[in-house]
Amino acid sequence: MSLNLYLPIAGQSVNIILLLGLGGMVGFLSGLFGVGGGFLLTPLLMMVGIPPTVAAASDSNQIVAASTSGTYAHYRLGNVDFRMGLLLLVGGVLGGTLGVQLIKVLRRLGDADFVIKITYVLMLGTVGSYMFVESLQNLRPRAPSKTKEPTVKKPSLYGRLIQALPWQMSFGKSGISASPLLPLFLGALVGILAAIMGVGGGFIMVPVMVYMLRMPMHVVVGTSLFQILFTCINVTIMQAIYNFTVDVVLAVMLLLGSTIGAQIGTRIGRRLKGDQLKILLASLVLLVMIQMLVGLIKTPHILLGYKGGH
Amino acid sequence: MQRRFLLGRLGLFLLVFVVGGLLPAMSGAAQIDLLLNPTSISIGAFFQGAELKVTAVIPRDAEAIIEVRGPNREEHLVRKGRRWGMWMNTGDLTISDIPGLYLYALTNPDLATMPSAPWGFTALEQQSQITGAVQPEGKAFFFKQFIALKESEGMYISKPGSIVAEPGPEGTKRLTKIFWLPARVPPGVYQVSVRVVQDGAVVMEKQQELRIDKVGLPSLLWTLAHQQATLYGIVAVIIALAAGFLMGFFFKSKGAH
Repeated sequence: MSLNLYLPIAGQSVNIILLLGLGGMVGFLSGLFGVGGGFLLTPLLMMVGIPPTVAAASDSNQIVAASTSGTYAHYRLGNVDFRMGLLLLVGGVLGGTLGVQLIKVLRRLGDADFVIKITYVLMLGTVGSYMFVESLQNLRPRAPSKTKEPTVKKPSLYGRLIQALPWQMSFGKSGISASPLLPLFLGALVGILAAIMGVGGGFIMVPVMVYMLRMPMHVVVGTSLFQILFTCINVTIMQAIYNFTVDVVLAVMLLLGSTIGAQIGTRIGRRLKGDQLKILLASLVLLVMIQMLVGLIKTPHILLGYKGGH
Repeated sequence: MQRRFLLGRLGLFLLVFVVGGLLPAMSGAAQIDLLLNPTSISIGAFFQGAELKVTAVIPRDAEAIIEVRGPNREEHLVRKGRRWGMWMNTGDLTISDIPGLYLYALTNPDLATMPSAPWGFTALEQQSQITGAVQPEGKAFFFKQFIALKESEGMYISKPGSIVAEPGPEGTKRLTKIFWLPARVPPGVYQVSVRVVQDGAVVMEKQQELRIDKVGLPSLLWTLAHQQATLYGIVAVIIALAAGFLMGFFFKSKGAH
């Protein structure tokens, strides 16, 4: 028996070990950071020769497994804020619908591809750099002279603004109180970006929860996975119905690797400090950004490609 | 008397000459043989591409072209261009009436440049149409790029002079060519043909069908995905949910903390 497996929907044969390895690596990152990993796995699958549309759709199917495994592990550790997760999810679905319409308009105008790629580079660049610098400052030991008598920090304009929103409610798991309008709005914002970029949006959602909702990092990871789980269930079924692009064989091979990877990631994540986690995620995000930028600038080998990617 | 004898000898000589000269060609025409091994290809769960051995018997003094051609289709492509200093997709192109797979080999590299030959990439260019975001003068360039794209996948291959020839019986020769069909060959009815060339013209031609079908699990899943798409999508999600829970449960019982 060969070690190659034929993928019926992708119409391509791929090495089993390679698929298990890719799945395992992405599952590990998913459990560690609470990201779906779509922004990493889809390009990797395309490099292996899987058509872009099949890569993206089967990846969503695989993320359902990884995020179930991850959400379950985080739930048992008490790291999932269901109330917050649901509000972000509702916002995300609304934003996603809006984003899809926006892309249609852009395609008609002709420059959708440019907008998508630039959005990627800008988002990844901004989020990555901000997280990196901020976590680095937190990790540095502070000079003793600086630790003056702790003064009550004056809340920032953003802080005062979010406190002024109506219907303040408390989110027990996250230990914060905020208006439900805030997660709804931020969820929608991420949903729009995710639809434009064609990904689950975990890597934008995580920084949004940390910096804009001010949730503790460990709860952020569990809640993000919970939210991603539902987004990807929806995407998988839609892709199967409208585009016939979900390759179950591909997804099963990936998820065998990724569910194990997610468990290991969750455990290692617990041993790291929040800032260490953030700095690792920031480095990863910046790496992906640089890789994309190089792809945009370097002259391609062949000036034609198959339609179906972004 | 002597004259009649001479004429008779000449007539006999002519007869022998004509019959002797024609026989090999005629027997060649009768014998042009095309054999495929295998005669059909099944895409199963572990399919990773397939070897196709083509054997042809042709007249000894002739040259030949062996082709494997997939069904014609439309290829939807995007062209890349520079915009604001960055490379991105700048328009859609469609190439129609073009085979998805095209492999050919020649006994003599000179056949590749034979004028108005119905084989080779130049012939494909003439048989197909390019439409979409391209000016008429840019079509040739993008067709070359298309060939490069297909060649990079092993779906288009040209191998001049790569046919093995051995002497066969009665003024014939036996040609053997092994083609590699990559794993991404789409199912369908493929045409394998041999064309025999003598004095710069095609004198004989023979074609045979090669069926490529999905069988077993790939066939089952493909049919389910296309005919019962909703069910397929829901099953895909349930498999993923079950796998995620099982794995979580398994790790819990192992008790890492």
